[in-house]
Amino acid sequence: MGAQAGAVTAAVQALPAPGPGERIARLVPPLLVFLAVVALWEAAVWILRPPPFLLPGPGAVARRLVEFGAQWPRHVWATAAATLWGFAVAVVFGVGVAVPIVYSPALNRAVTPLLVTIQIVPKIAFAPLFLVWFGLGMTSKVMVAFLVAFFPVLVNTAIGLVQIEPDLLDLARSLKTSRTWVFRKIRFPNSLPYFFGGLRVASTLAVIGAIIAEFVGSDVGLGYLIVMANNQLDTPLGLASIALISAFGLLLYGAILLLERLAMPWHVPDGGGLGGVA
Amino acid sequence: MTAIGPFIDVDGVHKTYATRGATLVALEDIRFGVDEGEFVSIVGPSGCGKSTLLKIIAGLLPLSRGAVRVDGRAVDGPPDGIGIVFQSPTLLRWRTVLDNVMLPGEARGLPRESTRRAAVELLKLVGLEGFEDRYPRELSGGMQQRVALSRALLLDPRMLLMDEPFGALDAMTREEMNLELLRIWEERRKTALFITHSIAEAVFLADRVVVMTARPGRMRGIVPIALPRPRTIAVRDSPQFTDYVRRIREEIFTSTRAEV
Repeated sequence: MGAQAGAVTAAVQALPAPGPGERIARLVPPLLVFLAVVALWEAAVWILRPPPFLLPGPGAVARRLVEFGAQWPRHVWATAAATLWGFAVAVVFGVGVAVPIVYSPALNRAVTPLLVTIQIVPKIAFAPLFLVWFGLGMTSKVMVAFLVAFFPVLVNTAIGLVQIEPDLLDLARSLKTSRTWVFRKIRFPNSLPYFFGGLRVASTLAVIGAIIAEFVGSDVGLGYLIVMANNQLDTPLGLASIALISAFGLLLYGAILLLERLAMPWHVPDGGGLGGVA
Repeated sequence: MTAIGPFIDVDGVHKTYATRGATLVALEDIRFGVDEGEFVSIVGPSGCGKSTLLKIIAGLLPLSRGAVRVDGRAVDGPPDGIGIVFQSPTLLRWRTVLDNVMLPGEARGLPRESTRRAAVELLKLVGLEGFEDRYPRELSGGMQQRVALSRALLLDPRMLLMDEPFGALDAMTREEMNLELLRIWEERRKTALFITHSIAEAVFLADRVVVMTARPGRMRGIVPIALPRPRTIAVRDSPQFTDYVRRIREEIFTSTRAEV
């Protein structure tokens, strides 16, 4: 027994626990790929020399990014605020609807068809309507971001609350625990990995929602800038806006991964990737 | 209160399910007793309703006819003083090994410090000293079942109900766990009911083996196992052991053939 336990300890310790050096080493391949793509782009522009309004090189985009300077903050802030508000409302409503639905079969039957219908309707199509209903400001943007981000939070949270080994619930029953206890000690922690999976998807969708809303009607924000740059054939500014949107989206995604690690130290971290078989 | 009759009294239990007009008989007239401190195995092919029977005894499933009494009291909900081990370890993956074992104490609102001491001691008993702060995913299947066994023992139950707890383990780990279980049972002397589809496992562990057949789940008989205790791995090679296994296998198979 002792020898066996010792062998298992050794095996457990042999599991890869990346040190700081290894972590940096892991960043090298993706960075190289990124740099290679940028270099290829610059080289193509240098050789083919397309007009800058058609395809500017990364250098030109970077120059425009710097040049635009002090005008960025209010646009970035407008998009970021709309995204974050929409995302936050989606999380509150997603969880707020998931919990009662999971506990009430009647409510589940009554509400789910409507929710699925709303999900199937292309929500982007609501953007012009929201403009009419809520005006040109922040509210319509938040509404679109909320609407596209809501469903993944709802579905994932609901699944996480329900996907529990039946034997585990039997165990809880044999211990004569209350429904509140089962929620607190079993359902809630069980739902966390699903919930965070939903957050990841919702965060990227919320960014898209905010940008689309800005396309449709807005006078500030990165989405608005893209439309304006397009109209003025200022392609470098358009691409610079896209770069900032991506950077913001990545930052948000990273923040969720960080939160995920803090909330679930027991969970096998997947590095935020798409998973794989090897 | 002293009960008349056995500690666990399964008295003519029937279980039927209504399915679209037809009635499906899962269990038919099951009757046997388990004395205090006795180890009884229930063996039978899959579909004989042995897991259903265990759930009924644990008060997790209502019966259709008959009665189950534990210590003289009819079971109509989970009785006090049972520990259950399921086929899968059913550990909470977000809790460390120690916190998993402490779960029943928390559920009952027992003082944390004494619960903790009991859990640490039980982990020592099952040979998992030093693994208290690990997460379940870091342990092998056999070790996870040891954790589940510790958890079942935490509230010092009077009886231990086990539903094919080693069914998912490889043959070698399984034999090792059989020995471990006997060692722990001899130390703690809980009334034990053990469900398995392995005849050898049933014989090796038990004082008596309840033999069941499938569709509908019926009792074929009860075989007392007169192998001396404490039992070692060598028992499995003795002629008596082989004899018991053969006898039980014949009982199960002749009945199956008769139906076909």
